[in-house]
Amino acid sequence: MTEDDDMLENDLRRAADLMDPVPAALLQSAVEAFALRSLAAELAALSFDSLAETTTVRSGYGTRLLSFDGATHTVDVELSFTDGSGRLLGSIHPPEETEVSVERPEHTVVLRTDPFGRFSCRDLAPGPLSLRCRVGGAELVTEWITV
Amino acid sequence: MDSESIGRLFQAAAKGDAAAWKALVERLSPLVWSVARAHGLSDADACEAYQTTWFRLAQHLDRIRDPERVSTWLATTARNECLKLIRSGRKLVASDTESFERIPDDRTPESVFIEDEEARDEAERHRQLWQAFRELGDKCQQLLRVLIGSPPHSYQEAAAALGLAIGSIGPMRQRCLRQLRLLLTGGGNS
Repeated sequence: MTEDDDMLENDLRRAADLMDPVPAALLQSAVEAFALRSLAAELAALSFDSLAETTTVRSGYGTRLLSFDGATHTVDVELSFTDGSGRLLGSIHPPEETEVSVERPEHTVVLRTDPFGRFSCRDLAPGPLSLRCRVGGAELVTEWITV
Repeated sequence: MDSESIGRLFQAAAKGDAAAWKALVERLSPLVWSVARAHGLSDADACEAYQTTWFRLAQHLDRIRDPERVSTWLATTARNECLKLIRSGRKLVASDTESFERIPDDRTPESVFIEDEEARDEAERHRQLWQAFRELGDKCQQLLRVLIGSPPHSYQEAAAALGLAIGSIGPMRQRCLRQLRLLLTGGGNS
């Protein structure tokens, strides 16, 4: 009986390879992600995500709050969506005026903060996102999230 | 490939071996993809969950304490991204609709270019098996989808991917495969 189960499972495994495989271009993007590893940068981990707590399914997007913690600095982000287009408001604590790179899979947008470490970005498409900035003399990069 | 060799690949990648990373991605991509699909995400959303999961692993190359448990880390991370996507209002693909009806394109070269009759019959058999699979209830589809993305007899990834107790996986798998067998043999002509 268990051999039959194993055989059926393997058959199904083969069927999945044919009928619903990982798209080749997608697999390639994961291979190329090796270059994204932050060699010299400090990783700011996601320490708070308002989307991690709630269990109810919302129709459409509300405002999502996130915090990323580095050793000396925190990056707070507020994401909101209207009509399929996202807006990001961010701030660096302790405040520091610097450049912030908004990294997406296909492109990067470079912003400048105001003197209080605040920055914003409109027309965000859904998908993976990471922020990179130089603060306290060191490079900081946030954990990838899905916008 | 066992968890020990996956651990070795991971450690090599952490030391800067790009070929090891590529091997890791090729080996564990079916798992990450299957978790996204098991959660009912559309093509576009499954792609995003898959990407974020792998991009995040690249960031954690020098941080994962137990390299042999990378597959569980990937399954858990993929699950969390899927749940967040669902909570933010992404539409789910109904279990009995399309996705599997797409005409195979350059992603399935075998099915497009099969000339040999025997191989064609084999492909048709798998297509029918997949169709029966898609008629299973949600819970069984979820479980089997993740199991077939994981190594045989490895239940840790499925437990992490679906938030299930590892001890419940074996009996559920048995029950679901039994139901699949019923659909295959007892189902009417299509």
